Amino acid sequence: MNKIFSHIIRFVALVLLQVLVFNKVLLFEHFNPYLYLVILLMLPVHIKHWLLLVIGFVTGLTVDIFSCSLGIHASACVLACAFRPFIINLFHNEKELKQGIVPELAWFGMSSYIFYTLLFVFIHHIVFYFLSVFTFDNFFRTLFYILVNTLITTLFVIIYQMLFHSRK
Amino acid sequence: MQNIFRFLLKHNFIFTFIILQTISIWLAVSSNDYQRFEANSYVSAVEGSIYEMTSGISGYFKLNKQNRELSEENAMLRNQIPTSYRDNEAEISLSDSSALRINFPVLNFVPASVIYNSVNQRNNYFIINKGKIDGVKENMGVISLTSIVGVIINVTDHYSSVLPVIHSKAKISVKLQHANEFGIIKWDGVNYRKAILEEIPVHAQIAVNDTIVTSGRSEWYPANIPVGIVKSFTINEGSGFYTIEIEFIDDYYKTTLVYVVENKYQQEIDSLMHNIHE
Repeated sequence: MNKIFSHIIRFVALVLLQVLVFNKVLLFEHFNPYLYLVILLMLPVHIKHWLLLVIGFVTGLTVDIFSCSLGIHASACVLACAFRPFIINLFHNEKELKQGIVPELAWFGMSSYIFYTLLFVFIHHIVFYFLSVFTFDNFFRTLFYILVNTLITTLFVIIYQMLFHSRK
Repeated sequence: MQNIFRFLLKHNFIFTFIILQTISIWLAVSSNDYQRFEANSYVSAVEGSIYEMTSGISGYFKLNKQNRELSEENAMLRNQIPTSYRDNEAEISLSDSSALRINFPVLNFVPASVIYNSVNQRNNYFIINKGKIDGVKENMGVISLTSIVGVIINVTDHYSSVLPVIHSKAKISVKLQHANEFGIIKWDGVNYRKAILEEIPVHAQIAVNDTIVTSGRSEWYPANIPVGIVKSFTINEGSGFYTIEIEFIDDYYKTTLVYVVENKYQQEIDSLMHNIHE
């Protein structure tokens, strides 16, 4: 129960932080860190897969409503969440892990956590950028934006992890 | 029936995925559309109050108040300058010009502040803190202290959303300040500081750093408001037009104070346009 509560607090805090602060941060005239993805990155490993998708959808939609981009974050989050179990399986065998464990920097280790975040954020950003641009014109320019923004978001996620979840 | 149910349960992951993904893509595609943005109006009142709160926190309290007073005063002054009045030399020469002008103001300016804006998406929107109650209506132009901002597309009681010039659907009728050649500015969705100016014929004399101003042909903006500066240009051989890259005068990321422009004869112009199209 306590754990569910901490997830809810994280949800509210990070959505507010995203909408009120990070949506207004504009690095190099273009890039936005999407720190709210931490909400989805930190859902328990053994969460039901359909529930993971639903939470992804709700989180994305909430951010959408406050960004005038209805559906775009939601779609990106749902796809990223669909891939999340497979990404975690790349580093750890899901079945061997203890019940109720949460993917955080402390037990993932730095290098796996960076890769885990990079992959998740990259999938999210592919959908997000192509849906918001809504064209495959200038494919490589969009791809460049995706890659740079992935690095920026990942950097912010890692900083967040180091601040709050590096040690138990 | 039971079999179908069991099948759905077994593949719940796939089905949840398909359903949620369909909903979100449908939302994304339909809200991309200029007209369908209206579906968003139910949230914009809630958003409005939240953004107003945060912009109040982030702005310095005193400065906010001073700014509001200043823009209020500016609006009043703008209402009095000659370009806001119907320019009719014959009428003016017939009677006392100043009295006539005060009787026939054409443009009215409503001061507002931007409480939400985005600049790094392909379809950006602004939300301002004036709405129906303050006399703001759809299809009114929005200008800033130095340049133009966009067009009102949606109004609630206290807030309105603006389709800014940095939106993929925005088109601005402009002219070269010196050459008096008319063209259209379109935003290409890349950089919020830059846009493309089209339909200037090649016989026009242009140079880098020329100023682009509003043409006055569109119903939204008064004439001769600076919009941008020519950065570079190439001749488009096939069409006989220039392709000109311009930089906006305004940094739309930082826009805070704006005026909503109300044209008092808008209805008359609209009804004429309507007749033409029939």
